[in-house]
Amino acid sequence: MSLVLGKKITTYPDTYSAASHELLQCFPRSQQRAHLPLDPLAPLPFQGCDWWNHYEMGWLDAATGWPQQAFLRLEIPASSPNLIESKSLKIYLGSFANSLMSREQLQEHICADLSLKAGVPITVIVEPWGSTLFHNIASHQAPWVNLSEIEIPCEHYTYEASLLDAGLKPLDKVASEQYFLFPAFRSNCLVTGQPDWAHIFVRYMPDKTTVSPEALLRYLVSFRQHQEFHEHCVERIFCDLFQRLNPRDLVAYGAFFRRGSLDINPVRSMGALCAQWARQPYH
Amino acid sequence: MASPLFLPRQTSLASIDCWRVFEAHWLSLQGQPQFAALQCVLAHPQHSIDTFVLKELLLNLNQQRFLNVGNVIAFLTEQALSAGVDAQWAPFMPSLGPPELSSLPGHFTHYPTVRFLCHTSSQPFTGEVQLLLPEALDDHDRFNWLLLDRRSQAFDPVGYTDSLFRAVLSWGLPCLLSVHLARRGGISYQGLRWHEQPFIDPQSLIQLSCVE
Repeated sequence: MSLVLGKKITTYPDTYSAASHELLQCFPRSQQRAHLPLDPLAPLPFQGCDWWNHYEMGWLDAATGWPQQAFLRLEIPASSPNLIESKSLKIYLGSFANSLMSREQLQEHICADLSLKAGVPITVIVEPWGSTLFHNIASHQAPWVNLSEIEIPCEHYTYEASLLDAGLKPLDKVASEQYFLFPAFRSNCLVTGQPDWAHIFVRYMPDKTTVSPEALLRYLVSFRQHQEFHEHCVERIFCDLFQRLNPRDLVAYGAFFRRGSLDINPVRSMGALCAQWARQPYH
Repeated sequence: MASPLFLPRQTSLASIDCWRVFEAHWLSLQGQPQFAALQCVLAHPQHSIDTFVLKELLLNLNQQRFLNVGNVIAFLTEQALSAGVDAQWAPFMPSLGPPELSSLPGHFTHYPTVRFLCHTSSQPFTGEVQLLLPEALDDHDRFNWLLLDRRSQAFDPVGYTDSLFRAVLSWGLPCLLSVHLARRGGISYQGLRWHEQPFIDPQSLIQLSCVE
């Protein structure tokens, strides 16, 4: 399939039809996972999902014809065979702009079309701005260590997993849960090479090994010239840490800055997901 | 740089334009990634900003080293001064929304359903309008029709703001208008327009545009 990502688009459809789902393009997760330190015959070491926030959901009210505006959240399981390509999703969602329908119809269309493409049922929530449905990770009470506040020289800007090795330490006492935040993460789009920015959150419960904040910082900085989709960057971070730490619990979460009205927030976890980590919409 | 950052613009309107950059990133002197959200305010502007050029300029900062955010702002200010433009760069805190005019005296209405097409790429812009009038419109839908008419028309952000403002002025109503557009390429736009005989202090508008 020829992706629309990286291509100049001259016509943006603004009316939804039964064929609009053809605007959506998907990508098999297995292709990128083949490059991660994963046993292809074993179950995935994580569960998780990709939270997508769409800030510009517009359509026309079926009864009055007046424009409507809302905030849209998608939850796509990490177990889905396909991920949805974000530019095609933006174009697809834009096709509702001049379409007459109710909010319920809008939600049903999007849910049906995206579930078809992802290969599993996905969750779609359409909410007015100002809803209190969503929580903010910043209000999650945890002793986050901000890695940006550690002043050390950095010089590796190409991906290097072995940077973690220098900071591995055997654990000689019972350790508490570790919380790290890196708000200046940069990676680059796999197709266009344009930079993507994110806040990266790592929480883990050590077993016999820990990693120093300095090594974790240098490792995360090394993604700066790395090209990969958001979802796979987070899976890579999870796998690199999982492989080295063999922790009792591990969560890797990336809150990426929005592109074309959408932000993508992949979370990968050894255990159940924490709903408090879902991101609050913002301008 | 491929083309000028600042584009000349002729207008007699009392106005403020504010561009907010959510993705200004650079390196510290030690090579560690740094970032800030920055805004550029042009008061009574005779220029507009080409956001494609601004984005390119910001991308070029990604691997450059600066002592602190003040030096980044000084660099950006120098770019403006060399073009003869008085641009006020400052950090801001991204929040849940743009500054609200609802606290000002007058009749305030919020319209969250702005949509129009980019004059160069045909890509849809979306956003919201805040309108402050001395008193309520007789016909509430009158302004909604302006928005609906423009939903599939092509504008640049500044031209769209001017177009809405002139339409309200043609009704003989002094007003304060704020158009806030969702970010494209990590940059959002807010344009403020008001009547030549303002019924509020323009200085307070500048403050409003700086406290996000």
